[in-house]
Amino acid sequence: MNKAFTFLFICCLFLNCKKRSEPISWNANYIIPISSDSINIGKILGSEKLTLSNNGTHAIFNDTLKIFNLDQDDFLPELDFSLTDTIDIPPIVYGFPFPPGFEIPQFYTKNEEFNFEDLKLSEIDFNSLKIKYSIKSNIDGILYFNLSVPTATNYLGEEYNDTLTIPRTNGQMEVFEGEVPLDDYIFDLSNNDSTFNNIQTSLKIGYSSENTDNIILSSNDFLSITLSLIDLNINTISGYLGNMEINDSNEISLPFMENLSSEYISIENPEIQLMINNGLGLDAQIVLEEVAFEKNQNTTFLEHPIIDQSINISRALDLGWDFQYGKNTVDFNNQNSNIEELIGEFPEKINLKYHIESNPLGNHSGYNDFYNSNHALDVDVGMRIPIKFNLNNLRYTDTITVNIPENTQPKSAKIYMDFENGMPLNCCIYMTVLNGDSLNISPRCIQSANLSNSGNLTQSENNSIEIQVNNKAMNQLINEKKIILDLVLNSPDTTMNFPITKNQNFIYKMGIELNTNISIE
Amino acid sequence: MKKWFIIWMIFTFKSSLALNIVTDDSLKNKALKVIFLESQINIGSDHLPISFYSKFINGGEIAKKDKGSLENRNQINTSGFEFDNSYGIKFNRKDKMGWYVKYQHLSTGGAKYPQGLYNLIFDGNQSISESIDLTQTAFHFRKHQIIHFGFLKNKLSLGLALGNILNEYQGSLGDGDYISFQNPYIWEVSLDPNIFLLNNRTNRLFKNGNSIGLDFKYEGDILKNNSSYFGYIFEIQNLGIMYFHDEFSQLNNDTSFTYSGLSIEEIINFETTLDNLNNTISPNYNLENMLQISPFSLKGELNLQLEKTKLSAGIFHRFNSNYIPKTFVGIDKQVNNKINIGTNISYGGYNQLQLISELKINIKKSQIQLSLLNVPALIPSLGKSLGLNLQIQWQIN
Repeated sequence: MNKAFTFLFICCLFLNCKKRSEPISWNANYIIPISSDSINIGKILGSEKLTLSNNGTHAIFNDTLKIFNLDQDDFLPELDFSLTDTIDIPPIVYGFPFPPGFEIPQFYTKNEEFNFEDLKLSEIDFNSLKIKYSIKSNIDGILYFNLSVPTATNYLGEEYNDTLTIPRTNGQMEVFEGEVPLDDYIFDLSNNDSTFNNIQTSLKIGYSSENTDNIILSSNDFLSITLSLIDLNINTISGYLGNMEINDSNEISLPFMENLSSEYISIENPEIQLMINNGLGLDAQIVLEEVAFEKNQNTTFLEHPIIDQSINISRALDLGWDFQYGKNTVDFNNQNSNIEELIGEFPEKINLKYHIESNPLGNHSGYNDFYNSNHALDVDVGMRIPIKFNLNNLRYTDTITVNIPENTQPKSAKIYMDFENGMPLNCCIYMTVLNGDSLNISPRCIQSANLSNSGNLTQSENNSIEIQVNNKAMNQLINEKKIILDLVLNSPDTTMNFPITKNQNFIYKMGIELNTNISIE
Repeated sequence: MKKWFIIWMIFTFKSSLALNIVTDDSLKNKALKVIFLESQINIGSDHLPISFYSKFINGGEIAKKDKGSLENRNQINTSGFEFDNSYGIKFNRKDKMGWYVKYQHLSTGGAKYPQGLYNLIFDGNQSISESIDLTQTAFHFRKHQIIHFGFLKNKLSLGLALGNILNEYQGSLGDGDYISFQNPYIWEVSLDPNIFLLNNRTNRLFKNGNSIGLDFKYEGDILKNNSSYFGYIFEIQNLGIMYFHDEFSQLNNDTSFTYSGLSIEEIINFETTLDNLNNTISPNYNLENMLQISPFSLKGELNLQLEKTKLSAGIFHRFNSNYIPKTFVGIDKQVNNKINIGTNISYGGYNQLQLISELKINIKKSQIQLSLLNVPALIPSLGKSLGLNLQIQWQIN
């Protein structure tokens, strides 16, 4: 019996304790669809940005690019509304005991005119703001003060008025701070059309009824109040908004252009329009000092008569029932500029240097400038580029990351691609792995669609190619996970600009035949 | 510690399914207290060579010859394993009520699938040009701990089986489901999977599922005299219900689509594409209880004893286990007082044909029966199933 159990035990050890010494693996050949799609210029450029040319032969790309936007922070100095008032307690009340609820029968008024450089503001309509107060006191008792701003009214026409409590100090000098939020208040800064940048305040001080004892004030008692307007959310400002000069620059990045280059590109009558929309109620002058297009650290400058010349911009008009922007436009085309050359550069960046001066003629409007937070000064560029061009070696180069799933160890692969080319473009494909080895692509080039004499599509051209990824290239792909794709596009010939409509498609299907080893730990 | 480990190892020894083992009546009738071990392991397929499983267990490359035949892609195949290990004690008292207690660790896994689906995974789809019908595709994997207890009276045994469900995974595809690879650029997929996953709640006494079932066994005599015996056995184990508590996940996505690769937008926004895919195929986590019929087993057997030769035939089935009802016939010959040898042929289970050899040894108060399932599998390239079956009984008084 013991021998039997010993035998069983040995068998048991054999069966239970043996661990897998290597992964399970097997070889298999998979055919996997990778990608299929239909591409047209609507998908590339956005069909909502395409219109059809008047003669219906080609599409036109229309787009607007914002160059810069001038807002409150750009053309107004910081508006610092801060005022401090030390309350002089009348000596006549010294030495007398006053009961709780007693109010000093005196208004402490203050008329503060603020200095905002050359701005002369007559009115500010705030969406919201806060009154920040800081009270310094050594009076032994709970006080209150009643603050009113007679020139600040809400949408009901009510003056601002509020009562704040000052806690007991026990005779020691202490500072109390707080904030009072205000919404939808209009501040009349003109003091009934007599001045500008003016705020009036009125204070009354009293001995709070929360006290239980009488208070006796003396010459040692001190009380000062500092008020400031903070978190200003301005709706409108009126008055004279000053003369300010701004020198600034702006950089527009076009990262999708990095992969594109071309030896030559001809585009039929591209048009670019600089559109200046002034939503500010002030006159302005803009000088475009420099527009530089960068590609591979080379810079090409926009050439046009307007460069470095002043553009006068008229002010916006707010008629109450209608808001009218002050508008200016400048057109750029093949006749007055070098934009065709610049488009053919496929710039990665556009650098803009400009100078803006507000109210170049001073207070020309007689304190009738205005700012409305819903409107700013925008400078946009509108593009109107006909999709009718001739390309010579337009090259798209990109390094594509290839993620091969874990547990798969492909040995070799064959990529199948079928094309239905409805574009007036020949396309040649080059693929290399990172060690420089090229993949064998056969045939390498896809032929253009069949075209009429005027370059319009008559029939799509069907093409098929196969890309061989041998074992060596596959190992490179597995290790480096990257492949370099190089597409070279050419127009069928150089005789004309070839039109493209939204209905011309480039349809492709891509599949892979993968000889792979699957491995499971 | 080492001693307990050895004991544990002995009692969890993996042996094969022996369906036609009949407890020696003479021993049983004399033994008042019997400790027994019934341990079965069987791994098999109706199309895979044993070398395929060998690679799965030991690792290594599954070579072309290990993959079996890749022809007849719409043929429905079955593969699976059984690990059914029990040990317990019986108190038999002649003409009086006895009782038994048995602990069973049941682990089975099985799948039915078309040959084409197997080819797709292990050979690729390069040579598959027609649709693969997935209608009958189903799988299961389960691991249950079951306590059986009950009464023995004469030839009747009646009891209850209370189970702790460690794992229960089930899955099936719907009628008409298929996958088609007609050219390099298009996959057509129509799937209505119903997948249920109940995971083990480790380090907890109470698991995510429980079962309760009825055990019934009756051994009837048809003919009995001094030189011959003709009788039958009818046995049901764990006929009842499985009750899944509130921590299991289900995947029911009736989906039909044509996959022709990703669009350029999907490739550019690949992370979004993956998120969308994950959201589509993520299982639903169910918070409701669920009842199912338990995976009970049924056995019927006829035995004819002529002096020292015993002939047997019968049927065995595991329900809800992707199992092919198994039929068997066998012969057993007593060589001397201590040794019986036998053989039988079975058809069904997770494989089809099995040729089984048996050796029974009687040593004093103990009886050991060892069966090798599928003798041809000793040459791995010939067999499609392999198993061992061990039964030990030890009279302790």
